[in-house]
Amino acid sequence: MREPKAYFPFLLFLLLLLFILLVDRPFYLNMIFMILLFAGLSGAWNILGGFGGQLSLGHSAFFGLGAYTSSLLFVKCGIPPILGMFAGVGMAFALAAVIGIPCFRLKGPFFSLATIAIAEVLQLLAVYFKRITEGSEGLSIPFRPSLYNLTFESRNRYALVAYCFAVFVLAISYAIQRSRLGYQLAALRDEDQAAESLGVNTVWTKMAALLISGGLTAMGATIFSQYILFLEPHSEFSIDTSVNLALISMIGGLGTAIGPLIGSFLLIPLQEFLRTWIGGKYQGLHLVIYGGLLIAVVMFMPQGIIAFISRKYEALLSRLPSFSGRKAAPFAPAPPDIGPFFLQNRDFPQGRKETSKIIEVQNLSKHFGGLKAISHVSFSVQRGEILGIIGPNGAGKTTLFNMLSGVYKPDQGYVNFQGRRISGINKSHALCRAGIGRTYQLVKPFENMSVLENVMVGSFCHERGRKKSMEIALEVLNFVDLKNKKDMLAQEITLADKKRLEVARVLATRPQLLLLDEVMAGLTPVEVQEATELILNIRDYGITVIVIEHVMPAIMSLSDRVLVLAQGEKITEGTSAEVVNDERVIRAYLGEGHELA
Amino acid sequence: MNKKVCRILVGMVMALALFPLVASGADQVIKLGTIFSRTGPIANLGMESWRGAEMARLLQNEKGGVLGKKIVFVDTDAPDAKAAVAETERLCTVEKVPVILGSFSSSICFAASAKSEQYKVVYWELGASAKKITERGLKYLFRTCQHGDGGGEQQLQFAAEVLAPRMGKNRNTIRIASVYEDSGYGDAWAAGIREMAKKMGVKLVLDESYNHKATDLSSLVMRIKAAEPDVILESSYENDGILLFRQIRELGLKIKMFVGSGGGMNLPGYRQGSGDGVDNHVCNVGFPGYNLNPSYAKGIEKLADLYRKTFKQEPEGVFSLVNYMGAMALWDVIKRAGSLNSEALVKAARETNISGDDTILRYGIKFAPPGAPDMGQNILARFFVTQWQDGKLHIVWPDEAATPGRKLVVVK
Amino acid sequence: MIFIQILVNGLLLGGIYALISIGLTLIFGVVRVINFAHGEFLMISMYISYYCYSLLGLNPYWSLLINFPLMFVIGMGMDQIIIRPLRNAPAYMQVFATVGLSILLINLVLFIFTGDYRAIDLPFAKKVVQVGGIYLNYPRLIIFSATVLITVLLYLFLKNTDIGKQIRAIAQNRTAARLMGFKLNRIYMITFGIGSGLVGIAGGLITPVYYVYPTVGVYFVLTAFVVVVLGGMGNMIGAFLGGLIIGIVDSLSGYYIDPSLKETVYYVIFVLVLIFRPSGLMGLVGAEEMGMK
Repeated sequence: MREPKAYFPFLLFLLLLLFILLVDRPFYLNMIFMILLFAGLSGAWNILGGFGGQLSLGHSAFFGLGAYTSSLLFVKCGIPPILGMFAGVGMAFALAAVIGIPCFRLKGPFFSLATIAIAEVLQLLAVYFKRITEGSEGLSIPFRPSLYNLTFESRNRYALVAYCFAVFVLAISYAIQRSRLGYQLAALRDEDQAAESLGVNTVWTKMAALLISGGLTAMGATIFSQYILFLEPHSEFSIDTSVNLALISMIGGLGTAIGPLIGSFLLIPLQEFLRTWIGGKYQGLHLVIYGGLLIAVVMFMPQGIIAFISRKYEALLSRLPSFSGRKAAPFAPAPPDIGPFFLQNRDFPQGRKETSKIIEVQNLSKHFGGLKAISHVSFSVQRGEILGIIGPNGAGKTTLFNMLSGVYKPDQGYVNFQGRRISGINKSHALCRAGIGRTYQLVKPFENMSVLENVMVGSFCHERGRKKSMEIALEVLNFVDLKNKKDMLAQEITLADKKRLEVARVLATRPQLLLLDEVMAGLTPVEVQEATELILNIRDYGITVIVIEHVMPAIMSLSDRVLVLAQGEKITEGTSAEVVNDERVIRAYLGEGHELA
Repeated sequence: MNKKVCRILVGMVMALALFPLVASGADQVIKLGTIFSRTGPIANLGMESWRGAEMARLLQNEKGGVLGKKIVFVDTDAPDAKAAVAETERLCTVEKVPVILGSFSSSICFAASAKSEQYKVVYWELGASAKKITERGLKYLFRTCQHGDGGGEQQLQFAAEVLAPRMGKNRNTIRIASVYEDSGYGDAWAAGIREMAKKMGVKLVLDESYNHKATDLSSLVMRIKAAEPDVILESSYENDGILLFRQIRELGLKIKMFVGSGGGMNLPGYRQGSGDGVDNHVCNVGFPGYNLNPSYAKGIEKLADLYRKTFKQEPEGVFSLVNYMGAMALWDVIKRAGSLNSEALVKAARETNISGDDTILRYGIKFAPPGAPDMGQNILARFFVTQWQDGKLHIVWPDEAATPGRKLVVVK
Repeated sequence: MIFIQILVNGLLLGGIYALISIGLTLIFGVVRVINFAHGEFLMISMYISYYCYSLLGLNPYWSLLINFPLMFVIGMGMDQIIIRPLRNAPAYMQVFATVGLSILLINLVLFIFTGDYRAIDLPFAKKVVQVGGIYLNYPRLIIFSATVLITVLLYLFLKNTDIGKQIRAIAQNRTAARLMGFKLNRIYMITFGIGSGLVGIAGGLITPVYYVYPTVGVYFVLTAFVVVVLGGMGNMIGAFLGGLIIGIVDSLSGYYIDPSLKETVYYVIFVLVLIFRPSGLMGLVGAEEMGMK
């Protein structure tokens, strides 16, 4: 609390609180009420939209649902809104449960369109069932000031309630951001397939975000209803509200916890002032200006205002006194080379190969339309060995990996992992948790997260707590020699380091079996050497590795055994020496006529 | 470039933030607030309503204003209920107006008047139609015009008692359909129709609502066709009114008489869009326009001239008149109150007893007293019946109000 | 009999929806932007038709010759000025830019022309033809025929011309198309122009049937998106069929279920299509994913 970074925001919030409690001008208090309420509502939206990257443009569905639930319970059953609010949250949860799972299959604009449609449907239904909702005539809420009714004579109290709501949402946002949920959301936002392969159950993660987001929105809606005291379907379920919530977060800074607050402090007064200043005089001119400003902000500040002010803010902070008396303590000390983490992972002593088969593939086939990607492939891998898979392009190697890691289901045949049938499971997150990890041919780092955070997504696969997760991540980074770049953004590091990161990330999930897909592609000879050593080290810790490679010297020296695929079929398997001299292999790679005479 | 734009934006916001601190302090005028929808889907109707209040203000100022001071409006735009609340707050706490005039739209009135009640500011409603507006027991709310429920009752009465006999039927044999758009406006009128139908023992052959934003009403028309009505009682805005009329014609349905409720069917755009098929077939129970018989509505021609001069367009709309009349009544209230104090205004309002001879629309103004279920509602308010003839909307009922030379035409 | 009439009504209505959606599916399929201002383009072109009629006395069917090129240019302008600088920004940025544009356009028109409803009263527009007891309205028949014609022409254009092929290539895989040397920006601009021009034709053709006011586009745009998704993004035939289906659903559910619930029915269909077959009726399965990255 002694650093400006910590106390300055605290002071700002305190100032705001004092303002709310002491100021007497209703106009400003009402403005603050709106600003803080929408900061909270948009913050709720941001949990799904900013953190999770799922841009809902139908959040007014939750808003209207929350508003009507608590208000109808109040008007028709006499239940005070402070309790009715929770009923509203419950309804929001129900809606989230119903629409979440089907809608999360949709990507990008399709998800947004689906949410728009859902809000429209709810609006139409609210109009239609007028016996319950009073339909378009609107629902009038009686003015009975009391704390339980969240209705007040004094504007200060309203502003205070909104303040509490905004702070509450902010606190939850921060907590999520630092938690397992937050990391998983950020991961799936950037690369959802990679996230799945690291054990993130993307559907449930998104669902968790939706539940929280929808529930908080419903809460804010109750507060709002008790302020405006009049509900009608066209307003409460309107697309303008939905767009506004998203807009506020976007302007402030999508994906940051404080963004919605900043955006709200900017947009709400702007909307109000434009309308009061110009709206009374000319028809529509204020909205022309508003639309134009919107376009301008989007075009010139796509990262949101926060990107602009964060530099100024940092500069300001650095000029404030620090009360800690010494420089901030250095970050956690470098972990030893052999940490407890890897020991936990190991069932077997170093280097000794056991005879039990870790993975067994029988008669595996997969076709896409007319193309036979994999055709009747069978093999098995011993625990602790390194199996190399080679073959010309198009041989089906990555397809094979995809079937081993749960991305595809085979059309024929089966895969057993540690004795369990896994070929029916096509959820890669489940297989990750069972112990199969994989990397990708084209690296998929979580671009907007730091190196450390990337690896933490992996360690969160089995860990719940942030501290432990970070420790494991640091150990792994140390192991792959990326420790000194841990705070750099993943998009900023070199390709070789990205590959290291990819491996580190998956190691943090404590796999028994590691599938490396062309991890050496694009590396210089020196980097190839380093990669080879790394893989051998990994095996030494008891992890079985299957490597797909084109870089011959590497794979030949690395592998205990080699499997050759061509055109979807297994041509041969054996030791490196056996395989390299096999005529069929030469023919497959180099074509006819190149066999050794 | 980014930084510059940012700075400009931040500067603008800050400048705007300081705006309310710059108070306008003239004491030589009386500041009253107005709330109408100047933007949004009913912008043209809101503006037309505002014009009525504005004309009342101009005319009164010509006479020296009220309480010796000129009247100045603080005009606001409220495209929806949220904005209405915000503007009401501003009018009450920053501009500190003693009275707010509004609103045409029922939802705006609901929201705004609830807020103004908290601030003990008088809300003078000139044109909104939901009956429930004046069923909330609000002390500071007064509505000078008739509400839609009463209008719906009038619609049905007109069809059953005036049209039916002229079509060779009686109230039991006339086939009446009720069709209405599903927002607060249509709902209110349709409810009135239903209640009156029950009271009179008249059976409706159809009672259907539709979404006024619909881009196609052919399925509704098919249902109407199946019901085979003689008369359609309709509550539509302008666009859906036009669409419905056209699609009825396109699908070969011949309806003899329509009785609209003045939402959009009494606007020139409706006639222009629906074409001359409207003439002699479409009546409206609603607010009258400027073609009232001048011997009935004294001063109407002068008012029409003022409209032309001030707004530079023909006075073809119908909302400004009723808004004008209500606003004029307000000046009378202020005069009798002798001050702008809320309690004095409320007392004076409750004592209002303007005779129909003294108003332009020839119905009186007297508000239901406190304790009555519709407290604050002008119980003498009523609607007129107009009919499209030769491309213009003429008043046909009551007979004495009718445009000279015009009377109700009924197609058999 | 009633059933047939309802079906016919639905088909004619579907023609209108299809016509409005064809431009959108082209833009959506290629440029991959949810263009919230699409309805406003429709509205602007309707105003163009209206003023050509009221100021120049030009029949709206003739003023199509003005609508198409004018909207084409406006569309290209929008792409270059607003969409292009945001091409590499996250998708939601483009969406919000179009939202801003939509607000700006609606209110600009409101400010300049006021919110009064304007309608063209063409005697021709009232003509009704009766075929065996079924009523058919002239302008709607024209719209339907125009839609068929435009769909066919567009389909041939995309299939056979060079530019058409480039457009289709980019729709399927923009990375590959770029690697093949296509000038993406130029193609996007042209696509936006064509799509907007098509909306311009739609606006001109429906002006005799509807009425002109600033927010008229808002009512059509959501339906247009439903049609586009139903038919398959980027697929002309899909948009045509999708439009007809939605028109028929509208008509049937309005009569047999309830006129105030018919929109609900097709929004529900919309959500179901998105869930179970997001590529739409005619799209390639998985096409909705391609080109997203």
